[in-house]
Amino acid sequence: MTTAHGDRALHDALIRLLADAPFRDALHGDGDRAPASDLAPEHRAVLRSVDPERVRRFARFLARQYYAERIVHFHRYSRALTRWTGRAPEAVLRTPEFEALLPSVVLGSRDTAERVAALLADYLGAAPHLPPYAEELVRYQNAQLVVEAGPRVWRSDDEEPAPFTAESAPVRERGALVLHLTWDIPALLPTLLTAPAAERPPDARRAGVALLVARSPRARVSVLRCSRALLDFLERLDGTATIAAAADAARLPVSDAVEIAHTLREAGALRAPHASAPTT
Amino acid sequence: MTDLDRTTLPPRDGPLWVGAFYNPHLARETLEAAELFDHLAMADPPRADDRWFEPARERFTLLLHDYLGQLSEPYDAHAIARSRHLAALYDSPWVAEHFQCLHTEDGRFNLNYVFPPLYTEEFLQRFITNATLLRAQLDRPLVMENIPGFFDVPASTIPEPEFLTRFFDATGCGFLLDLPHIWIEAHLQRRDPAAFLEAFPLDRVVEIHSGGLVDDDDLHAPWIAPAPPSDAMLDFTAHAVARCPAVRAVTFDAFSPTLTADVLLESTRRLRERLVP
Repeated sequence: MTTAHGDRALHDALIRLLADAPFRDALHGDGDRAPASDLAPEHRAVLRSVDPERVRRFARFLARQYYAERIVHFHRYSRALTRWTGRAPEAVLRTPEFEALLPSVVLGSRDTAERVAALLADYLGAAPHLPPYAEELVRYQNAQLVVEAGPRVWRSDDEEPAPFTAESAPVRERGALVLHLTWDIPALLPTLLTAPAAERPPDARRAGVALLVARSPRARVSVLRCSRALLDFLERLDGTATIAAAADAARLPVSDAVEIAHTLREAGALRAPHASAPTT
Repeated sequence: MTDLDRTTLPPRDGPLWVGAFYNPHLARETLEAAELFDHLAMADPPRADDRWFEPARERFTLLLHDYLGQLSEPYDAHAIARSRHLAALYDSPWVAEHFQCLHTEDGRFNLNYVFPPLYTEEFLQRFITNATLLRAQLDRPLVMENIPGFFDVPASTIPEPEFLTRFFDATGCGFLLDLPHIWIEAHLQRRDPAAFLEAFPLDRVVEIHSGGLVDDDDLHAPWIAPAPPSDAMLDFTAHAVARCPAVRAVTFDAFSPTLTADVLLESTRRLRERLVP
């Protein structure tokens, strides 16, 4: 493992100090233990010299800000239901359950996002006067919260990847999720935001829908409605099957399948097998 | 006109602007009270389904105040293209960025909220180099907002006001002076805000942010909130305007889905009454 030096590396360590609660614990416990052991000794000394109580307070504050921003964005439809349920999604951040999560939070990690999503499911699921589709609405929003998490590309000078051809063998991104719902949640969404005040929430249409939720390397989340053929096509793309072979098996025209694969790559659902996921 | 001319603001030749942030959920109320607002700062791009954005764009001067990137690293082509697109969409007379560094170079960790850089020679040079590049590519004036630190880091070797002064001297950028941020730092350092303010390069100020503060339960300290500015903050704002000879605009700094129309309109009205004769 290499150790980074210089002010920029020190600043990265400060960011991690605020973002990563287990890292803070390790730093202030036995400093030679992982994960703090990859720090340059002079950086570890600087981090230890910063007022730990101020750091702890600011880290808690940042954690609430971080997830508040995401909940306000992704869970705006549950927020629209608040006038009937009386329970705003962002209020979960002031519950004892979220408080209990804070000592293990790693901002932006998939694991923390999944745990926040589980809290939201419980919290919003316990609201009164829920419409019958409420649980699936939360699942739809939670999927976006979870998929958005993880390392992302902030800047890149990479050239555009070569276009897929029928002989390309892309692989599905592990982070992308497929949701199976029994209510047509996407069709409901505009109505939820604009519904006039009424005695009851707007109705949804019962219909089985499959949605692909994916994130681009720059963390733009997309939700794509999937046909049975598209799901079959996706399922076969494991990095060994060509687009042509997967298209044949899914009964899609090959030219359409190549176009679809481009769209899926832009959305972050597919990548070339040799391309790495955004760990940087 | 030279490139330098396009990226440098001429002296103010009209009255001070008073405005606020564009809050999409309050767009209708903002347009209905249009006489209160000379300008609106845009923190997010307009959503495709926002039917109020076009009327707002026609009615007000719009200021680009989005998260564009962080100047500890050079912007890549994607960030430059996005910045240019938004600046053109808004026809923004200047573009705002922040003295902050929020995510690690490798993209693993991201704070997503205010955190200043280390005030060191290395970071100063990074910010100067990258702001100069950005400004040239934006082809518009660039203003930079001060960001408060909640704790001291011993490795920061340059006082914040000196860091900012040297940055502005080297780049020719304008200063977006955020007064609640100054207030918070003065509070944390147990100093008088007006005295603390004097150390900053006030002759560089183009825009001022004013706004409300509330005590935060996590911080045990005041922090920015979508609340009205107190009387003391209004006094501080009037004082700052008087001390900043080149200031063009004062913006009520509140952008939040929890902001109410009452707070937005009343705060902007009080700022206007206090600042515009």
